[in-house]
Amino acid sequence: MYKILEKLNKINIESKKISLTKEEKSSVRNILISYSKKSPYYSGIISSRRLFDFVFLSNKKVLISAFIILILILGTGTSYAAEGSLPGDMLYPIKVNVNEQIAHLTSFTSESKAKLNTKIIKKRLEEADRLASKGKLNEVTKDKIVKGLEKASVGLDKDLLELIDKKDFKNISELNSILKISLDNHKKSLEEKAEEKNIKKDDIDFILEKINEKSEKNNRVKEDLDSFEEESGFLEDIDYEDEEKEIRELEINNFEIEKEISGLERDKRITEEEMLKINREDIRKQLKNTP
Amino acid sequence: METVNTNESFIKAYDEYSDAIFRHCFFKLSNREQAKDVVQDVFMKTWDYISRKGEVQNIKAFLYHVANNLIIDQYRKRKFDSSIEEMKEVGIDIVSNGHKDSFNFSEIRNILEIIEKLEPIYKDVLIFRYVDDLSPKEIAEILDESENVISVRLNRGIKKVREFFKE
Repeated sequence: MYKILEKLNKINIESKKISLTKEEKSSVRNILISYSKKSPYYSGIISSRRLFDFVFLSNKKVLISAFIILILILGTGTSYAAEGSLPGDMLYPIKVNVNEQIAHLTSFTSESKAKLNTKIIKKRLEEADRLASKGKLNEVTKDKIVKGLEKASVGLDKDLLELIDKKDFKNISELNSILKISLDNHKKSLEEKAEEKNIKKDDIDFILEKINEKSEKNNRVKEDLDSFEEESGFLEDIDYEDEEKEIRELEINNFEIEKEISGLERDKRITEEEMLKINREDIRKQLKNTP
Repeated sequence: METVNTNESFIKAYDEYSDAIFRHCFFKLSNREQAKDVVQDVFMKTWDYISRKGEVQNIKAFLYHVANNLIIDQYRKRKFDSSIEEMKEVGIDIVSNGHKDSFNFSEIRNILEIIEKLEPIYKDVLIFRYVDDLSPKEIAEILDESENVISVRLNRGIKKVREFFKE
């Protein structure tokens, strides 16, 4: 028996030598920090494998960038450091490859994905504008802007298709309007700045071409939505949804009122009982005083 | 019992228990990569639970509990045979990860082979006791059994191991 116990204890000693490597432990730790911060409430859709693959299988540059940005998020609260960067800046790859990738991974619904891609398109246009203002719009920075615009645009088209499948016309219409305003404003602004700052025609044309492409697509979506609205009157459906929401709110209010009434009734009972108790004590005292 | 209810306490629990959970998964799955994946999933699922319910009161027991469920899922995914054969390659696996461990498999090989042959109820408690170094009380909390039941299983498990040795 003693020998067996000795052998079993040996397992304990030997097994203690097995552990995660420092690198493994720190990688998983970073994933968990990001996961716990980005998903305070569980949506049930995220794939842990996706996060794992993102950190472990992406190239070295992305991995290093990921660590840098995580340290920034954790330590100094300057997580927005990269957010203000422009193409050609040192932090720009972190903004595009890390911040935006993490945002993509934590966008679970078609609605949030579409909103994110719209936001990214707006960001790229703002970056082009700022570069033009600073006279830094050249062949290299222009390529980065155009590539970013193309990528987000493809993503947005895919998201919009999913929203159409879900018949979420309200969001499509809203995003379309936001994008239209942004595209029109930045087109105008870029054309003006191109003249002011003597930017090479080729560099600005390329971006304007992309803006025009997107605007045309946007207009087509708007036309489709308008014709669909005429045919099926989807806005009526939306009103109907609002009505349902209102009814639910009223139901909640009723429930709250009922709760309050039952509380008042309880208080009344307690007061009555206390009064009774006081009366009894008074009677007892009077009886004692009676000779 | 250690309560976890914030990001900070969750990460602290990871720092404290990740190696122990990894070791437990590694001995039950006999595969380093799978064990590593399970560890990550264990902590993610735990965080999901904390974010939904607000807190976990006994984090150590909870982590082992989640790990056990995920290990069962892994068993279902693959045909779990000749795990000891796989275990024999463990040393090579560890070195290939650039982590030279002094883990001496030959020292404990015989006894692990025997534990592997036991019924799951005995195998589980022996692993909890001798690999994870948990007390019968802690094992009872994880397996949702009484401490007495666990002590009986441990004694019977040890007895069975001894019988195998006699053979």
